[in-house]
Amino acid sequence: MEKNNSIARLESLKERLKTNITWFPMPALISFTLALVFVGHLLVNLNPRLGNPVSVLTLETNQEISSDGSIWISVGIDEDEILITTNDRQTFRWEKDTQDISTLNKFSEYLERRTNQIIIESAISKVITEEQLYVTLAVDQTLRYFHLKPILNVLAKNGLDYYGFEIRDIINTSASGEDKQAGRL
Amino acid sequence: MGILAISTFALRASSISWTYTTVSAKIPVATHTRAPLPKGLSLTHNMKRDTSAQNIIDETTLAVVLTRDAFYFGTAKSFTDDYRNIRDKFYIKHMNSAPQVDVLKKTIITWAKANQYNFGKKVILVPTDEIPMPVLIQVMASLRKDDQFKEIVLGNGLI
Repeated sequence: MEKNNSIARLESLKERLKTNITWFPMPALISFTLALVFVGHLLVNLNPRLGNPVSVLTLETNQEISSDGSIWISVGIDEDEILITTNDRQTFRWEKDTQDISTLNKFSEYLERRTNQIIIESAISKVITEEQLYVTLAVDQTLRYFHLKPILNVLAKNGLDYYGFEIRDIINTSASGEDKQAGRL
Repeated sequence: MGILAISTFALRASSISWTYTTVSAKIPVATHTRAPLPKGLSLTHNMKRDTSAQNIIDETTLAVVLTRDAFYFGTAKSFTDDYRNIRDKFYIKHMNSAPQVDVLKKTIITWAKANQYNFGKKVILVPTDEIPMPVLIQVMASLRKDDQFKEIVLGNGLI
């Protein structure tokens, strides 16, 4: 009797081991996909340009590649509004035709907070460089100077006097690089 | 699904261009006489900013106005107190709607030599509102290639 039970158990074990388990790779696949998604999100946070719709000017300047300042701001148009995104993923909007800087109060408060934060970090680390308060403006090519004036006024209001317009540099590997004529109006 | 995820990840990572640079400008900073902060931290001192005559803006600072049709240049005084005087400002017309920045620079240098004008390395650039940003950035980049026009202050309100 006991021998028959053992044989029956062995037989059922053999049958079970012969059956394919279709769910076997799923835990590994799910973990792998989740890891990819998390790393993809991390990559987005490392470079603020990734996924940003702003198209900056491509220009050959033959100057040294400068590093980004602490504050990177992209300026573009979304329907009838100016859309600002920063390198810490804050966004601000206002009407594209406005020249009144009181409508940019939230953006001004954000700049004030960032500036204070940078100054405090510099004081604690006892190191200060010009790049720490350098503002990089990535401006979309469809904008006109009219749209930038309120932003420059807000920068001045918050004591940020050193800024630059971002361009995508062409690395000239030819023997002689000639100056290119400025674009047409 | 996995291959799609991997290829999307790889394409997005490889499509970011790393050769970005900036065309810089400055906002003028008013000098002040306040004593340094109590703990001795002073941004002016620590960043070694130069407050010599070459680095201040006054009525003799070079000013360039960029309009749709031409460049106008002169001293800051010629566009402010002497606004109505037609003899102390000059213009360089655009050719086929393209700003002639090289001609502008050569003309300014010739004018400076004739009038014994001392460059202070600062230029006030005043574009009109309708100037597209790509054109303005190219003009600034072209001006900055010369040492005499290294520091550009973007202005508004004069026109």
